[in-house]
Amino acid sequence: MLIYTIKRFFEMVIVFFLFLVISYLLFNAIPGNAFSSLLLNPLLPPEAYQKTIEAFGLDKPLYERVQLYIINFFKGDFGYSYTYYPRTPIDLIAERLPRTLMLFSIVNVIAFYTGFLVGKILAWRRGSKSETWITIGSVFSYTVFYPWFALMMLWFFGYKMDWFPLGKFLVPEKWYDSPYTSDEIFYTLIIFVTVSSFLLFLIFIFTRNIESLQNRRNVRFLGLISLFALAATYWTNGEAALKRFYAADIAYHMILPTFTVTLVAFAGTALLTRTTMMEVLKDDYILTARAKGLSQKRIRDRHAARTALLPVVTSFIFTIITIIDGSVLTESIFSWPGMGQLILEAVVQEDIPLAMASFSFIGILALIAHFIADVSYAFLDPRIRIKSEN
Amino acid sequence: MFIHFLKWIFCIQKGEILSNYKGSARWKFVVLFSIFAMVVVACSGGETAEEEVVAEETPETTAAPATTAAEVEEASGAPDGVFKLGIFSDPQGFNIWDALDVQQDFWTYATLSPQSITLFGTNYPTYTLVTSLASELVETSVDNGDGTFSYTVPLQEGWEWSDGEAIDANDMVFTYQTVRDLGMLGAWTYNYPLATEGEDGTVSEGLTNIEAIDDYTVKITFNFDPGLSIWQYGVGTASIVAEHYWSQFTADRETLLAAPGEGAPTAGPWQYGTLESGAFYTWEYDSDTMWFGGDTTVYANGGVSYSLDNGVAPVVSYEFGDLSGDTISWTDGPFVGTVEFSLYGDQDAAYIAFQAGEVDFVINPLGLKRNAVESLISAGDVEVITNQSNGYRYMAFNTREGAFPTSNKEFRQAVSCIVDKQFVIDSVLAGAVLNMDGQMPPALTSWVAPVTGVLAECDGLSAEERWNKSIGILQDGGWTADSWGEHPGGAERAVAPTGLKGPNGETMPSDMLLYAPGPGYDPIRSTFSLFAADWMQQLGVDVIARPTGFSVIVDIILGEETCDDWYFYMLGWGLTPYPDHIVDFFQSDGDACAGGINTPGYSNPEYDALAAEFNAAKTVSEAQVIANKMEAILFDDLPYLVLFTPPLIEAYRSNIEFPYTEVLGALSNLTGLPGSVKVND
Repeated sequence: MLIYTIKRFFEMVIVFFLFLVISYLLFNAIPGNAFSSLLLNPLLPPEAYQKTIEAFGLDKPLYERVQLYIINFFKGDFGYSYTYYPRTPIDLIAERLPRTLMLFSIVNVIAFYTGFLVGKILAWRRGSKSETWITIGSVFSYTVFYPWFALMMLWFFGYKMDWFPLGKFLVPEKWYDSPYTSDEIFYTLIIFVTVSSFLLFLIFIFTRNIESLQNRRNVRFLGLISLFALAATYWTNGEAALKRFYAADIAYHMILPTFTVTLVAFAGTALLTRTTMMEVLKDDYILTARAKGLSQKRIRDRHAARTALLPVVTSFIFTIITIIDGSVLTESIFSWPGMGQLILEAVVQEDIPLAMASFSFIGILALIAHFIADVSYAFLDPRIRIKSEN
Repeated sequence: MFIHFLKWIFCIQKGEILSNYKGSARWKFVVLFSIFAMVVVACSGGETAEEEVVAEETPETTAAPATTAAEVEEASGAPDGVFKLGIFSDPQGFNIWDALDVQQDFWTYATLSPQSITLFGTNYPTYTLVTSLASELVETSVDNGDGTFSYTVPLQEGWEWSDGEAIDANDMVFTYQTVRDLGMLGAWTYNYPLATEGEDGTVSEGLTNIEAIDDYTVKITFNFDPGLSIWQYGVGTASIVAEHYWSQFTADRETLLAAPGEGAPTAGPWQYGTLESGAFYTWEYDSDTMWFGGDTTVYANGGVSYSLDNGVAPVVSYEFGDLSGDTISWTDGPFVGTVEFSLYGDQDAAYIAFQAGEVDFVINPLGLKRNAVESLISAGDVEVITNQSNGYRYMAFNTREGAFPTSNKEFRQAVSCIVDKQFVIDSVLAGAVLNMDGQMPPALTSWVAPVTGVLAECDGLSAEERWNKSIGILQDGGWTADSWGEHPGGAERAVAPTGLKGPNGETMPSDMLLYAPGPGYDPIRSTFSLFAADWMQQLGVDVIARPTGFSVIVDIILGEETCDDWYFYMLGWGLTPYPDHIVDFFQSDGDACAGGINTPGYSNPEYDALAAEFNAAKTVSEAQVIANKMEAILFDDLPYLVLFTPPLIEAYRSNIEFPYTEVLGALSNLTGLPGSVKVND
């Protein structure tokens, strides 16, 4: 197992190195550069462009730049953003990351959870009318042209019905005299959501072995009520009480993008769960469980669904990456200034240091996610481990 | 909604049908508890928050210095209300040094507080040169006898930065020295065009010194006698910043660019308010400001008169240009207390917000899409305006020797004649753009030259007549063909000539490309390129339109190795208030292969001589006469076939009152005139 893990780690390092080099070369293959527009400025003396190019080191040969970039990268020096000079890419990522984390972590968890529940029910109700209609709905969600759908959601719920704000993450007037920046509020919200989720997880873990279904439900319900009470206490005392007004504004702005992305994203998980669960339901041990006289719900939730969960969890691990890179389309349409917009801007404006730093960040997370998935699989399935070691 | 969500989660988790759950004891408990929690959240803690806000606000009120300006404002009523503007992109910073350096991003500049002042300024909507910090429009230089020429400019006395420090000559000297010593780039290089020594020891023409004769007089010295573009519209309109603030950051260029611009003193009524990156930015009215009021009258023939007597600032009065014709008058504000720049991810999101009344005006330098206009109007309480953009789209010919056939003047004339721009605009584009022939935007009436040459001769001709005329031009130019083909008349395609040869027997190249932006980037130019290529094919020219990425075209025409390796391309230019592009685009010294922007490689000694005269012109009227002569040459030589200028459509809410709405370049390029806009109830 250790050999396998070490081997995978070194493979990961090599892949990351190749990722860095290829990304850098690809960005350089885009015609022009971040300062090409200076060439088209009739007022600018020709030598000014050359000076700019020299100032940012773009006059050096490509191989030299790649070499320099990689050396500096491993020294932790990402250089300066071309477009936001003299701000560094890390500074910009630190500013945008909380906003994306907040929105997309919630979206992913809700989409995953909803998708899993819907998929489970779909497989269980195979052949029913509801299965047909929900499957059709899920396939529609899965294949809908997202920019159109998101704009329609914005237009209908934001403009026509006036239920939700039209994009952005705050109402400016409410923040004119705010003693806090939005990032401070985002950090508070992230901590709050993380702690709440952790507590919720603990409640689930500690109650899962309660044999009586009725008792388990009652304890979980009480736990949830306690969590609400704790949340209410937190938001009504101390500094959080001052931040509550602003946090509520951000939370309100999150509803429509969360709902929209969830509608699209849950379908993939639902369809995957449905397929996997349908396979599992054919297994002998399910027949055995039925023969033992277990209740339908128990067979579905505790026997079939748990086995079906494995590939779904793997898929979820990989979607963690999308929490970071966000969704360029979602962030653009809902005017949510997170990592997705930053990456789009960096690529369009050929801001190579910023684009490279953003992509490297995502690349590292993607590799770590894959590494965790691979190691977990090896841990869970000895065949993988043995094959690798042989 | 949250309760419904909970209910849904609970029901699904239990695998129950929703209706079974409704009305159960637990459901009631959840509802009761949630109501209780909401009441607790809503009632408790609120007082603390309010106390904090009061505590924050109190010192601000008491700390406000009671200056004369504040008293005046109190008496007249400090402006309140918010002018809400939609923007599409985050500004890259709030520091003017950075904003004018290499970035030069439209959005950064649009949201930049007035951290600088200039000697002269451009009055809109007439584009007339007027005084600003300078108390007179100095047009003549003094020959120092040593090869240098100086302008001595008296400054307005009594003008102050927002922090009360005087604006004086030392600020300009400091700005110049900082640009020079720290090697500032971008706009600073043409705002302060320094005379620099090249590797071969030659010194370029430029600025050699700026010195303060006294606190309110600056002497600006050049190593040549500059004309309007370098003096009045160059150094004269260069940004001058507050020395007492920025001097603490001049250790090096990086430090200066990273310095906080949020607290920089301004030379205007606005200061930064709340800056929420990625969301919104505000300018707040500075209650101590002396920058308010002023009466402006603009005249149809370009003149402008202005007077300022607000009881705080020194009295100013001036008149420039031709004071005849119809007039528009207004009094400057500000009439709002806050200007809010609200950020939207894209145009669609911004205009949905506009429809919903979230913003009063969307700053959009490219104008509103035509298909969006109807839906905006249907939303009600919306005014739509159309202005000309200060720029044009064109097709360029490579005129360099060896670039046959485009190097041949008769060929360019024949192509320019057969391309029926008006047909494409009227019949295909449904009048979406405005035809343009010359180099000057039609709105700059005093600059526009009469159209001459083949463009005038071919105007209004039918397709058959154009074809015949073009063939005639080629024949007159000594071109030969195995068969000259024929035009069947009407809307039919012509039978193209075959075996076409140049006047010296040059064979026509095959597979020539007309580069143009693709339909995704600009459908109008893309459409034009298809028609232009088809018409050229009817002249026996083997050319096809090639949709190409904007950056790729720029790389080809400006690249060292590819700058002469093309035949035709279509791109566009945005122009500056002073139309000296007529020099930059076609002067032979500025050949793109030598680092300039004369992309066609056009070279004509007669034109170069006029360009030199234009550069040396001291007055606008003098420059206009020269420009007309230059245009006449261009109409004959046709290195560019100017195609059209796109109109800029904008919309604003009906409760918004602008002092004027007709302006070249549209209101977006004036950031929606926040200093004089009124937001009515």
